[in-house]
Amino acid sequence: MKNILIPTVLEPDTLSAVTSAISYSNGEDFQIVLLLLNEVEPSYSAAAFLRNAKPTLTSVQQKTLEQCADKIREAQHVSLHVQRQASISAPLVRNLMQALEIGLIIVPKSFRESSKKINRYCLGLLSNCQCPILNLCETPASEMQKALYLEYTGSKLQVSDLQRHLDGKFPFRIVSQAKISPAEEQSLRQLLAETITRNDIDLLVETRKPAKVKLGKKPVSFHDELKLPVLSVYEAIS
Amino acid sequence: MQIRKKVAITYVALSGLSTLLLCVVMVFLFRNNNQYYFLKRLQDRAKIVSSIHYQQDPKKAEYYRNLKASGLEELIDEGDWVLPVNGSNSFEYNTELKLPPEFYTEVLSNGSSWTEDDSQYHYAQLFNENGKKYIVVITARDRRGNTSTLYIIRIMAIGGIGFLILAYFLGRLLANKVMNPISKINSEMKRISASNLHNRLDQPQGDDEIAVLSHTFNDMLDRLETSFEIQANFINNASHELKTPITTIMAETEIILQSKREPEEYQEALAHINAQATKLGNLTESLLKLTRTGYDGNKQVLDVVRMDELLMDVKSDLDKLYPENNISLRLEEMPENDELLLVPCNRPLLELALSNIISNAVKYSDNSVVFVELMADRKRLSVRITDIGIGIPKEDFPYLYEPFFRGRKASKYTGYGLGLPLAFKIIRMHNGELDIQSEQEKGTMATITFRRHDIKDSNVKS
Repeated sequence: MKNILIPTVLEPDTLSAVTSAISYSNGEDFQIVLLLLNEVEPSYSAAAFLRNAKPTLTSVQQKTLEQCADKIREAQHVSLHVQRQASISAPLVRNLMQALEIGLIIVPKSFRESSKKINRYCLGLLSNCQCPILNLCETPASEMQKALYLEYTGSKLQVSDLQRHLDGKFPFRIVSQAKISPAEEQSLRQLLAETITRNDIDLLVETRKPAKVKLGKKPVSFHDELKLPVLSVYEAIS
Repeated sequence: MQIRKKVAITYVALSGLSTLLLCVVMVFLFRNNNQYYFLKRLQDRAKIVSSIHYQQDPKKAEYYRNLKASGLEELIDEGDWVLPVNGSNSFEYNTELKLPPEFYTEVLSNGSSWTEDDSQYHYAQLFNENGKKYIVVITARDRRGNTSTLYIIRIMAIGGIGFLILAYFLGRLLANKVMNPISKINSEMKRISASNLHNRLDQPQGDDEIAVLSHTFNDMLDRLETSFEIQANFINNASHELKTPITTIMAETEIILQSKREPEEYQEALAHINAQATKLGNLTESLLKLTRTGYDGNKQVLDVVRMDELLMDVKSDLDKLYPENNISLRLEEMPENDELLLVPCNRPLLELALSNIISNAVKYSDNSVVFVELMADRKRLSVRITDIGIGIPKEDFPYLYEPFFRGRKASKYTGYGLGLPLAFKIIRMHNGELDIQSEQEKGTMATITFRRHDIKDSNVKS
């Protein structure tokens, strides 16, 4: 079992991310890594930077951190590691993932919606990693059993390949598949909602390809309205 | 305007434009070349005139005069003048020369200059001999250069017109070559109407645009035919297919009502009835959707099902409908990877198709053994249904997929002749193939094959 990375701003929804991370424990020891990012203020010397750079947490954040620590302490086979980063870059993320042996990234909604530049940049860099990313939604993730595969135009991953790729790592099974083309996203929405209700789907699976990290306004993803966690699987460009 | 004409005209216009451009460039370069060599000749004369002028020895001066007169080719209207330069900006002006002051200024500053007026050239060069400066002016008319330029222009104009005429015919040839396959497709399409939708366009070899166009038309005709037939037969299909779950529900209720039972038994029966009713609902919805959209694959959210599970479901349903059936599900040749059994499909419809084919095998073999084999590998997924029933006579084969067709031998069994045609259409919609082999009085083997590439694209091309 590889470790799980949770980039966080320590909003209360981090707790549900930790809960779903704990649910992946299958008797093997692993670590939950909470990644806290702080933007670096301009400083005239290294010593001055070190003196001033004391990341302080608000009381709400402190409380969330303690709750997470308590929850992890209660669970078996799981340990907590808090990783603070004052800057982020592509090689840094790559090395960090390697050093911490990360096998899954769980992104809480609050982190995804964070307006801090460093958080948005980090999210972009993480999505270029080959690690699967589980994007959580507002409601705490229930046990994920049935998944709907959103196959985007241009994706070359067949559903059987995807299921094989995920087998053993995740307990869910893909029970439906929808071909998504940009022109038909709107018309598919109702059909997807129907399928989700009919088949009791509790997870969406999509594939992503490496893309240039842009810090512009993030386009609203069409499946945000479906209010389901989305597992994003890296698909290499062939 | 016809595309054929447009192609021809565009071809003529483009070739004309490029030829005109080429002609202009050639005339320009030819004229420049003429001018350059004519000026060279004037320059030679200027040097000789200068040599005559500063020569003290009369014999040598005479020699140069002779050289100029007989050694060089004669020029038309040739004339030469020597204008001594007195100061930095003054020289002895000759009134015979009607040249602008700027011309002399340029000669004094640059050392030489030339000007042309109606093919009359004036070339002037500044010479410096023993501290004395003088300007030598040579004039001559380049009539030959002018004539050859006109000659070239004439050749190009005539050649250009000839080329345009040739381009027109070549353009028409090209347009015909491009448009002929489209005209052919057009005339073939004209003979396809609602009454003969089963006709298809000839599929040309290769993978050019015309082959793709024909393929797309054929695909569209597939969808149209399916849609037409399904719409036409919807009521028949619906009543035929809805009969099965209703019969199951009725059988279940009759059995349960025969005597008083324990609450658990009622619960179990109600659960069965509920399951059948749900299936009925799904089936109705799928059939309605099928009728409404003609199975527009792009707007379908497909179910991803395991084929072995689907076959087991079909068998358990048929067990209730034909309790004495002898269906043997053989799953020996299963792949190591379970994922190879996954099929993206419309589950109620595919279940219906499999159920129709297997129940036909059970029905027409009088409950003798029916083998249902599932085979899957990286390239394909196949289901083979084999029975040892009455078989299909050879003469019935062409009509197998026609709705309401009842074979001679099959007429003693109950049925409407709708199950197999609908199953065939559903399998085709999923980009599958249904292959039926049969021998009379020996049995029938139906093989359903989904190729892996087709499984992926089933929702795109269906």
